[in-house]
Amino acid sequence: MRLMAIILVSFTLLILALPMARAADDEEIGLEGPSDVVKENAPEEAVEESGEGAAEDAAELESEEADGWGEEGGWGKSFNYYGTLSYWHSLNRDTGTDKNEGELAMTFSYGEAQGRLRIGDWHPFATQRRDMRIEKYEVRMPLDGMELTVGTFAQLLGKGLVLSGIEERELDYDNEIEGIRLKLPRESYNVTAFVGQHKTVKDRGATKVWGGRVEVSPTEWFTTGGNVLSYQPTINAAPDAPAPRQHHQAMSWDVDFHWDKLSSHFEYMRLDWPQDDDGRGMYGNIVLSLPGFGLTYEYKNYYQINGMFAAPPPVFYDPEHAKADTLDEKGHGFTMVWSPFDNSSHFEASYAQSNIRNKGWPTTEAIFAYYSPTEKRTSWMSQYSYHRDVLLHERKWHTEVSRQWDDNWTTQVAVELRGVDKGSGTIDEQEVSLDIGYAGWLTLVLGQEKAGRGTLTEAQRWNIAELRLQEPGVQELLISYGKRREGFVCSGGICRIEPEFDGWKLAYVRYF
Amino acid sequence: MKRIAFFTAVFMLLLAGVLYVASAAERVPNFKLEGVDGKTYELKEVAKDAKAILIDFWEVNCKPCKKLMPHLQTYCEVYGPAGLKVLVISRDTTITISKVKPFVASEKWTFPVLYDPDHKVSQALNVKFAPVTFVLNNKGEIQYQHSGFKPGQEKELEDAIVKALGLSEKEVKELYAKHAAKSEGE
Repeated sequence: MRLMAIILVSFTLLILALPMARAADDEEIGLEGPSDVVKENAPEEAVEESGEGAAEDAAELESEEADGWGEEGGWGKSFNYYGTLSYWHSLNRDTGTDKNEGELAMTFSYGEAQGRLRIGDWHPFATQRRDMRIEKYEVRMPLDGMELTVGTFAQLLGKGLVLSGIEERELDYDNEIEGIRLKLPRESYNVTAFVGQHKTVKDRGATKVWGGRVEVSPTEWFTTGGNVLSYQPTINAAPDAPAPRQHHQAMSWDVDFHWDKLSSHFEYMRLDWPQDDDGRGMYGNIVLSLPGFGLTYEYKNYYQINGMFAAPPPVFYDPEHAKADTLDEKGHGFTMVWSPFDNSSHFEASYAQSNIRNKGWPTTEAIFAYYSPTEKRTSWMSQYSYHRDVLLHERKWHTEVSRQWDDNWTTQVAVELRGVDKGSGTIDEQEVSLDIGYAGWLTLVLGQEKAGRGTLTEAQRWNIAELRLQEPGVQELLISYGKRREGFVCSGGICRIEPEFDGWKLAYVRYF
Repeated sequence: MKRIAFFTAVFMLLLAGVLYVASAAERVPNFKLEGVDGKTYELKEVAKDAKAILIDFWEVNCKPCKKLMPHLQTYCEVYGPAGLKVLVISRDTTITISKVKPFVASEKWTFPVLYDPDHKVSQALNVKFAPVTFVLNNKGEIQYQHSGFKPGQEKELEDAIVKALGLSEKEVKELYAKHAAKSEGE
């Protein structure tokens, strides 16, 4: 433990010392800090004109003089990088989990090649641990008019019915592929092919994957594409025996239309299972975009789509319930945004409904919201949400008021009232939070969630305080103490149960 | 424990090496993304006509993002003539991506909104949530970066824009006067 403490102190000192060392180096060779670069390169006479012409002149001068993007071969003559170094500590009193975690994440470029690297052991949930490992590595470079990627990469095919190979870190969801990808981008067509393996975030076993997409755009208003994905997961085998693999193949076809204010997407997929009952999925939308008004209609029909790679559009709009059942669900929904006044205020409304194939398990959702403009340094929003399925009937009112008191102090109060019925009567729940900010570098959040009133059991409370200090672009420190309720967290059609937390957390991020 | 300490020490040494060896820093990698308007935007192409670039990572259901957006529109209008380009990058994935286009149209924004559905650019810039705002010079070097948004923080962002554009107080006033005159004319 003492050794660990010494290392952590050294780590902190090293990180704090580096910018100073860099500044000293720059001084020695006559360079100024990055924040002065623009000033140095922008001639005063050009700036004084302050017009469009001045900007053009300045930009032109800059491209002539500097090692900028504008020059042929100018970009990336040197090794460039950007990244974060993070440290987390959390102590969960419920489970006794006391953990220290660290991470280095960086993006770099050299010439036309770009890449990223992430090493760490961070797990988003305070009750779970992960070993230190190379989580991501990727190098991307042009190759004879193509783009070659080696390492771990995100890959989305269509709207995700066949493959949604993305990462949602806060949800502990990682569906990226490790392997090689080749892209052939052309004006009227694009070809993508990849081969590699997919590991779940827990490394339970690698699945061999290959696939690709061919996309053709014969006109500006029409694009069509075909996708294929083949994957071979391992199935249980005796220890020391080679693990047998299953073979699956998914194919899909999609079309996109764009007519002025209207656009539309349609996608159809098939998946062959070892069983006779093959999977199939269909998704379509029509989007109307007018100045001050937007409307989207969506339709879904999913049956036995593989949950491992697919994360299709859920066609539900409440983030807490926005998940589609990829085994059996059909439904539709619409969402509308309307900004009738000449300010930033707007109304939002959405409605969604789904069933399983035999018309059972109906789910209905409706949301209405209003966002006010900022007047007299004050803005507010209010939202009503309704959700009903076989297991849950929930109604929610959520209101937030933000006020800027002067150039430095800001406050925000959020109140949410919920009526939750899980089959044994309605339970009232309340959530209140107060958010105080000072000058952009300090934020204090105090929150309380209360549940249980209306039942025979005693009401429960979860109180939490969070302090965040931020030096923009340089470093951030977050300290939180208290209890957080177990909850269903969803993002991008992916949901996870985040376990309850009782304890304290510390997070430090240093940008470099 | 010794093993962890050993790996941590190796990690630190490697990191220190990387940080010292590199000759230039804090330049974001170039990227190319499709916009809501159907056009393709490449960062280095945008930078050619700009003195500073503001990049904001945004999500259609993100409440703080919605509070920041009117300020971005104002800065785009006021500082656009002085060489500021604004790029808003949507982090929306399949769940909400169909809401992005109608939302953008309804808000009448004049800056481009780009799709990043697989979070390729988000990951390149280590962005894990929204909003996250960057101000770059036209070589792609980061001049300012901020995570989250609360009313009042727009002033700090504006200061970073003014600094990146190299404008004096007088020039800022002139830009606002021109903007006000243009708005009245409309």
